[in-house]
Amino acid sequence: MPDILTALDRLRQQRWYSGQIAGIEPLPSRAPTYAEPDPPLPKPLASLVEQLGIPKLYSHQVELLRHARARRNVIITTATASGKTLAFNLPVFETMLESRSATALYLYPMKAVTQDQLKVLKRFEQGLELELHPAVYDGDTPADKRPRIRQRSRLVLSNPYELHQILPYHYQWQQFYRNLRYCIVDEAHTYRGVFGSNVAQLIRRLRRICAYHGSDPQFFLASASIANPQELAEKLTGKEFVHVGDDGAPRGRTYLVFWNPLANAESSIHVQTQQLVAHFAKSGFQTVCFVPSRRLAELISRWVKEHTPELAVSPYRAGYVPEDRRSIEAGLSSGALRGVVSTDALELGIDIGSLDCIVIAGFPGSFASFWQQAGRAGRKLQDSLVVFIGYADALNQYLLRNPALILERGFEAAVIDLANPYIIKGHLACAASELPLRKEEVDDAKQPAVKALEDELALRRTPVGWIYAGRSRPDGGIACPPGSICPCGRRLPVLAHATQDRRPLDGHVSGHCQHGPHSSVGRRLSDTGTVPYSPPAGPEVPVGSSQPRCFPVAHVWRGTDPHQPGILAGLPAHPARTGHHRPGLSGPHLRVGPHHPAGPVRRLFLQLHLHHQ
Amino acid sequence: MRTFDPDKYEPEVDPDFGGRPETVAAFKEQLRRDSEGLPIGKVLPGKAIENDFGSCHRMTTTVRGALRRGDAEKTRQDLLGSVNLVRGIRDKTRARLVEQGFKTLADLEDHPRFCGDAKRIRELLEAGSTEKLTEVVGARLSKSHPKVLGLSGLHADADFLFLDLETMGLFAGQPLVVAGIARLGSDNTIVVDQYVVRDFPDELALLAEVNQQVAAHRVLVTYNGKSFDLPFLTGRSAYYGIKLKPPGVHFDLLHFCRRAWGRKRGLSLRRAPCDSEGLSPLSSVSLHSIEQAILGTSRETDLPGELVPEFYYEYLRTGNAGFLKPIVDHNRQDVISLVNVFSSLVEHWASRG
Repeated sequence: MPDILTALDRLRQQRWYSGQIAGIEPLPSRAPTYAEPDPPLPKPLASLVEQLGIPKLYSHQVELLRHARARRNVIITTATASGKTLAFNLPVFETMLESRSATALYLYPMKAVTQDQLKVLKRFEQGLELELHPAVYDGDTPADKRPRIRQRSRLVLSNPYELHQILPYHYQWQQFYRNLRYCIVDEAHTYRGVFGSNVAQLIRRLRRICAYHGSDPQFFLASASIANPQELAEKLTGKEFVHVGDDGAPRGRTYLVFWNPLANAESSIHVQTQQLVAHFAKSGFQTVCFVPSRRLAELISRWVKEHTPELAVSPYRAGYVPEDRRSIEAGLSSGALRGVVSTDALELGIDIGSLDCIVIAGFPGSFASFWQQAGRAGRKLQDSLVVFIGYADALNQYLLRNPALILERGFEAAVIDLANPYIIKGHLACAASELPLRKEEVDDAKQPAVKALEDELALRRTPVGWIYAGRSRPDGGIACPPGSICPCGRRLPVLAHATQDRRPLDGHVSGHCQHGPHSSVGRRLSDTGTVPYSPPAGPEVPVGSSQPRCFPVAHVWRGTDPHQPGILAGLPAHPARTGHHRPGLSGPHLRVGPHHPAGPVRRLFLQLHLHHQ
Repeated sequence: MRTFDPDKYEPEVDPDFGGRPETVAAFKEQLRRDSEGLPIGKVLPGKAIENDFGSCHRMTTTVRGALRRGDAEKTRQDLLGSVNLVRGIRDKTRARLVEQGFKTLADLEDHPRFCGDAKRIRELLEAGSTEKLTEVVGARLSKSHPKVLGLSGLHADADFLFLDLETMGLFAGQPLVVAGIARLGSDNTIVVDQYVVRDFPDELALLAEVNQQVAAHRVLVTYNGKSFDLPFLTGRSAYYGIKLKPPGVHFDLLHFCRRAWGRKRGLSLRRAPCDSEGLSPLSSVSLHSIEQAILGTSRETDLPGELVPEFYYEYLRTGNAGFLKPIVDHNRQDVISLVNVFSSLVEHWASRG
């Protein structure tokens, strides 16, 4: 691999360079710390690990194994590509070797990652000669495959959405839940804010069902660096956790370059981005550039290709067909693709190996995201390069002038609110539809929510507990046809998004509507993005009413006021915008588009939240 | 570019969904007035029944009617003569075997290759285990083959149970509100028991009653029960933690009706089933369509199934049992139709040989 310092020198000699490098910070390398598990791994597992090309285990992997064997719950926050997957698979497979019936559940926030993990699990299964039938059970799993997976898969990979849909059918999973020993939650730092609070309640529902079937699984959480890993883990699951944070993996020296595009007043920022990517790719570094929007990803990628037609360069974003995404990821892993310009879709744990150069165009919104992206750079002990291009806005320029903020690695805290009454109410209704809600389970914090649900006739008291008696699914799920729902004409609370995406949500949000015939339609939004709505006239609409109504909608903006966050929806300027609408109804509707960067996140939140406005 | 004026916009209501709002509202108002202040016992004549799990309301109606189910002996002979029930025997082999003199299952028991299977089927026939026979015939021919329905001939009237459920929704996390069960009484009568949930504590008792009835009868007949009613019962029973014994033989008439009277779908070379009788194939095989087209009956003011939750909700909100009446009537009519549709199917296939 060519030398980084030489490449930087050559960079300074370019025509378009006029002092944009505001600073270069070399981050020191780190030698690996190895350890031996005591007692040692069972022989089949030890030899498999060797076969996989791993001669020795890192210290953090052994530490996790030690805690796992002692039946503790662990959250591990070591860097990307430090072998976290192996770390939590070791105790799982140790148990699989000992027990003939133990099962494990793996939860990932995105479907793309589950496919990679499935491959890893199948390799383990094959190497250990076990019959575990690892399988992915999510929205993409065809209906005819589902019964067999429920009956015989001992390793099931899924995501919070699917879990939310299938918990009411727990009687079909009886054997699985009865023998559930481990629940592995990856990318736990994405479960924060409102989404995280929902997932926290979801996990409590899962634990409740496990308790009903007689099991109490151990939790392993893997997360990017955050300020409060233990607190997050405990709040997410309600169990006590141990934190493994000392990274034993080796790291090469990383040069962090701060690039201020404003130093060259004539050249546009995006052009400079393209020039940088082209320069490093041509110099022989495999480069990934993270940009803030999908359009920009495609644009810059096209420019780079124009300038370097001899190199294989590709854009990457959510919204591509899965096969295309797989092929781009494979190209990166193999080294065939020399440059990729991507949105933050490539940030999460998809396995693409390590890269030589990362260009971060614009601060991604949080330090956690920044270091996730930067963490993609660096193969083993080789040198690597991270170029941070500060955009013209105040935040970016401030960071360029005060690099200590980034370098001191201040991580944000992942905050979860377990007391949010709207969220609790939604999940109580769901829990009641899974098993009757007993009096012991309703503590003082939940009393008001239960009372409110009773008043809406969604929960009814019976001798066995409260049962769910609403007229629609409490999760507002599948029964609701797409495109049939509405903004209620009020401000709706916002979805927290891990990367604090600034882009407007274009057009589509769906959820379940329970508005009766009297609600008013939201008024047209202005371009500034925040509009006060007047509350709708008419009676409060209770949970679980089943008459869907369709309203036309326009853009949905993330609220810009942090104290009054909201998703605000309005009327469409263009009736022809939305592609799909319910047959028989004319006019555009509100619908979550799969092309939205955080589509499923929003769906989960909205379905629960819209219910309990 | 068309623009919308928010003040002039009216939300669109799907006209197919749940009936027209004006007539539904008027109907509700009438029910409310007619039954204001009346106890449930007056509106739905019946009594409360008790079991280990609680109590619920039961309404019993008796109507005249009989089930046509085919002659036991004829069914047996027909099955004994169906050589193609044996694995490995299709048309060509069958023709060859008939030439060689193997015309019935009994003959095949002397055949070196097919004796084992033939013997097994004959033993099942003699033992009268229709559960296994439906599996065999369904697997070899088709699950909705006339011969499968014909197996009903091996049962007595008392074995049959006709079931239809009304629920708060399609999701098994929502409760049952009415369960209608019909049994064949003596002397050409159909006894319809309808169990009604007066308030949700009754649901457990109702489930227990229904489960008991299903366990006590060997044959269960439903409409779309394989996709809805039975999974719903299973889910609901699991929710309360009580056991549901799966039915022995389950005839889901939807599939048989589709085969008998449904539209030819796709590129099927099968002749449209109703052509010979001059009836054109039906585009919808819902119970109502079958009632109208085949039985020739029509219901006057019938509550569409989708409105059941809404009416039950009104009952809960107001306590006025009048809102239960249309639900119960709808359910009773459904269950009685089940019996008549069953008979029609049997006659239809009997007449075609």
